[in-house]
Amino acid sequence: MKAALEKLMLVEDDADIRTVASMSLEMVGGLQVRACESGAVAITTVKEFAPQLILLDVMMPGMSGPEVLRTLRQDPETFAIPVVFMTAKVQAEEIQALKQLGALDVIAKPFDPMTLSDQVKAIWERT
Amino acid sequence: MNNSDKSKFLGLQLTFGAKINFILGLGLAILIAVGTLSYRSIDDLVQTGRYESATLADLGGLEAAIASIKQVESAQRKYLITGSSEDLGEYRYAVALLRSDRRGFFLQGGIHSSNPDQQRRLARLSKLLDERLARLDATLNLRRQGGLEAATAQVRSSQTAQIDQDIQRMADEFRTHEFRALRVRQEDTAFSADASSYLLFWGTAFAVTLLLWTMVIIHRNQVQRAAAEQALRDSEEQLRLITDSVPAFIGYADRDSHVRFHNKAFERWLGRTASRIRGYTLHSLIGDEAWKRLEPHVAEVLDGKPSRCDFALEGPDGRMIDVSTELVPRRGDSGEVPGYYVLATDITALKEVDRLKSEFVTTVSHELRTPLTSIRGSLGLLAGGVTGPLSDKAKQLVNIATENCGRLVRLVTDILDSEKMLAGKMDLTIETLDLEELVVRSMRENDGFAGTHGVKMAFEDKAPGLRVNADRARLVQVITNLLSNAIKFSPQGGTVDVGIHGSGDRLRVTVADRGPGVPFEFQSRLFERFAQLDSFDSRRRGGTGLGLSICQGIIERLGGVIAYAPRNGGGSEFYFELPVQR
Repeated sequence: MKAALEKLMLVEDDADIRTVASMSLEMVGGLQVRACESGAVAITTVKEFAPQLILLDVMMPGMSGPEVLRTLRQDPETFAIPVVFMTAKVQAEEIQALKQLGALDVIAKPFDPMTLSDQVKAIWERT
Repeated sequence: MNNSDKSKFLGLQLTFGAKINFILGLGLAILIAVGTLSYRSIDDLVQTGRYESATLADLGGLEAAIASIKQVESAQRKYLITGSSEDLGEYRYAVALLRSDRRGFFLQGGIHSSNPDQQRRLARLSKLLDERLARLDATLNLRRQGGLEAATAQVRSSQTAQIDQDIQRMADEFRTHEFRALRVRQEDTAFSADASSYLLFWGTAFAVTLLLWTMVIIHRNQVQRAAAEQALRDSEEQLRLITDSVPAFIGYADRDSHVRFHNKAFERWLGRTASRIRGYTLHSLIGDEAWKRLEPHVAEVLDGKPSRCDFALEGPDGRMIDVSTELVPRRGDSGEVPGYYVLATDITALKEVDRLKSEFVTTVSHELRTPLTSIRGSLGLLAGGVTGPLSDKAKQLVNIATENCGRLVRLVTDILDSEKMLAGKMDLTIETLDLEELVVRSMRENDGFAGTHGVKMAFEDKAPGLRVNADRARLVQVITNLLSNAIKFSPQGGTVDVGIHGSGDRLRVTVADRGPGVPFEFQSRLFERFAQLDSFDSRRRGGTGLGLSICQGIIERLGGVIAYAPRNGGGSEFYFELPVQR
């Protein structure tokens, strides 16, 4: 039986979205969340935090979401961590392109904070 | 043949060529008739001349034969008187001459073969001459045997006189008839010659008239042609000036795609002179890459169907020019396509503007979504009571903000979709779908929305099990849009009726409500972008004015149609049809 989702990492450069998403996941979903403001911070803390899933923004200064994903996939310790992208680019072909990079799924912005954790848990259950 | 080439001629609509052929044919017929009759007339004259000569020869022969008889008689009388052998020799010589003259005369009888009376007279005359010669020989014998008296008696006998009279009478008859026949023939010939003369005169006059007429027609035609050619040159010059002033390539190519006409713009685009364009193939002028794009459309236009395509063309400075090309077939009189017209417009700047616009819309949409995410998220958490309970007033205000935030999100999404649609960049993932399952799922997703409006939804599938080829997400988007519109416009407590109907090889999905319906004058603009009944209504209903135009774009991309119809008993019915996948 698969373990329930309890611990995830949120990577989002926008502080407001980071706050809202963290609150939503923690207070509505009851999840343990580590919020990172950039891809670089995420890469340095991912091993120490060991999340079950990473919620990753696509467009970020410095390392973009796809670059973070590529880096994670190159490291055997982080290779298997499922990644779900969050993006404001919600066109079908853009979502398709992100999935082809190896993401588990894509959550469109703006998201509903009251159902965000349910969405993430449903994706986790599917894996 | 062009009707404008025809004009009225002798009550007939004839072309210039037909007129000339007709007149020349008539002139030729007249000349042949005149020639034939003239030949026959001349032949008659020649025959009459021959006949006349023969008649005169006959008469001469007759006179010679009669003179010879006289000469023989004279020589015989001389011998009868002298009895000398010398005179006998003269007699015999005269007899020989007579026989010769007689033979010569009677051999002429051939020309009288068609005249039995003259033949009979000749035969009688010949016989009389034979008898006269026999009598002369008998007289000669009497002189030898019975002496002068016996011979004289013979000469003076009534029989001899009778023969002489018969010869004279027959000769007179022959002469008379010969002269009469000659006169008749001469009269006939004279009449024939007169008739020929008239015919020749009038025929020649008529032929000359026809010739003059022909010359007049040809001259008139030349004048008309010159005027038409001048008008054509003027028109061509005008057309040339117009086409040269148009900043688009206008040209004409034949079936082998050789350029036969082009304007200045094409010379500028290609950096070539006119002489290095006219007669060249389009392929050689625009290059392999551009031709690869254009060639299928050329095949289509040569099949008689107008076609259009966009392609990039390398300019003389190496810069790429985006070109939008319209190909229009030129049709011949019998419907064949001898070539095609080309109208190509430089859309490089337009494409760049379009690209910048799309980029702008995409960027702005993305940039709008980022703050919207925070706003919606914050409002959602507040409304959800995550930060603690809100007062009723605060809850009401948060709900208003949440609703309008959602409207803003939909607007951004719709603008993006609409832009994609316009740019033809909306990618579809086509799969075979169970339409009933999609409709039911969409209805379920709109259950909450319907509930907030106090509206129910009813579903009836009259074509279960049928499937369509479509993009799942986009089709759900269409159904959801129609459902949300119907819910928004339904009266409280009303029902939105959703149905699936099969009709031949098409499936129809209907979404009907009992709302106020769409005014007739607005129905034709219903599927246009930003088409809304009025801005107040738009604000009240929370629409963007893009939903139906996006639905239309999606359904048409899927090979279907979408339409509106007033519902019997009041309300609206929107429906779309898609081809059934068997």
